[in-house]
Amino acid sequence: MTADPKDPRAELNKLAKLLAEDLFNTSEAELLQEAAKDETLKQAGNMAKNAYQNAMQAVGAKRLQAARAAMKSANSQPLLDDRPIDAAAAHKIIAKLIAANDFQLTLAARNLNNVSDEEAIELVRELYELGAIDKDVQF
Amino acid sequence: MITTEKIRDVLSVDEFKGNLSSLSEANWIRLGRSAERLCMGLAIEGKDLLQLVFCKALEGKRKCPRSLPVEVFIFGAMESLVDTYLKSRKRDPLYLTIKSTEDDPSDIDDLRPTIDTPEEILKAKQTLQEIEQTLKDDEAMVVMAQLDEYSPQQIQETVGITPTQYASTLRAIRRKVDRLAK
Repeated sequence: MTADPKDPRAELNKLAKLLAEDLFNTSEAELLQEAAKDETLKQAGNMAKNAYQNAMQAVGAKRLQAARAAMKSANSQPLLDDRPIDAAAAHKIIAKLIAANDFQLTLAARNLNNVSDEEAIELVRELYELGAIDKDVQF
Repeated sequence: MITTEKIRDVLSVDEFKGNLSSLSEANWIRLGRSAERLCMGLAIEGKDLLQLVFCKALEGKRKCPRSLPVEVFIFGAMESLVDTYLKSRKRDPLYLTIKSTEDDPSDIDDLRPTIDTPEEILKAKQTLQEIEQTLKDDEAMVVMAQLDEYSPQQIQETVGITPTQYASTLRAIRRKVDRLAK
């Protein structure tokens, strides 16, 4: 209920509800008959359909925008693979791990003293991804 | 806490879309015309009001109870948004502070009035006068009783008309307003 009875907008609103009461009480057949003679009724129906289509598009666009924003945000996180690993740093990290004799990392199974630069970088990257190396370690 | 029972009481967004896809031509007409009439004399348009209601339903912000025909739900949501809009367009700041609105005022953020409140009130006054001038005695009495918020039964008793006469009076009023709006 609109509170201020003296406001003509509120009065029109009450009148609109009365008119809607009749619209909803008029049978489908009668209303279609009326629409056959009154072009504005057909236009009102089309306007409602367009409003629905526009709403579908607007909601779809909003969802797409949200998905894009989420994707952008995810992409802006630094990927592990993107972190540059220097071959010398990789060898240094491996040497430290050998010195620490960390059996949990099963490094002893490998001949780590003779790994190539590429293998050293790959190994450090894998260890980093597995969480075996502290995230804050500087390459 | 939302129980499964409560979730089942309302349509899902997909079900809502499904119901709309099978909406009859007459119901589209009812929705379009009632949206236009709810915006009568206001600085907003029926198509924007309807689109806003559809958006809220498609986003799942307004849910259609299963027990309600979808067209009735949409009309009710439009009514509610217009009420919120009217409350938000009051000139009296004191009124705004003492009256709490049921709907979230941000619900109507997307309805952008084309004119200021004083102009809107003037426009509404003129529209109301034009309508009143076209009405015959019984029609005018029915409208007056409606403005006084009488129930349909009370209106019939006050005006002294049968339910059938009441229905034809409403039809006559609706057609007159339709002609004026053309």
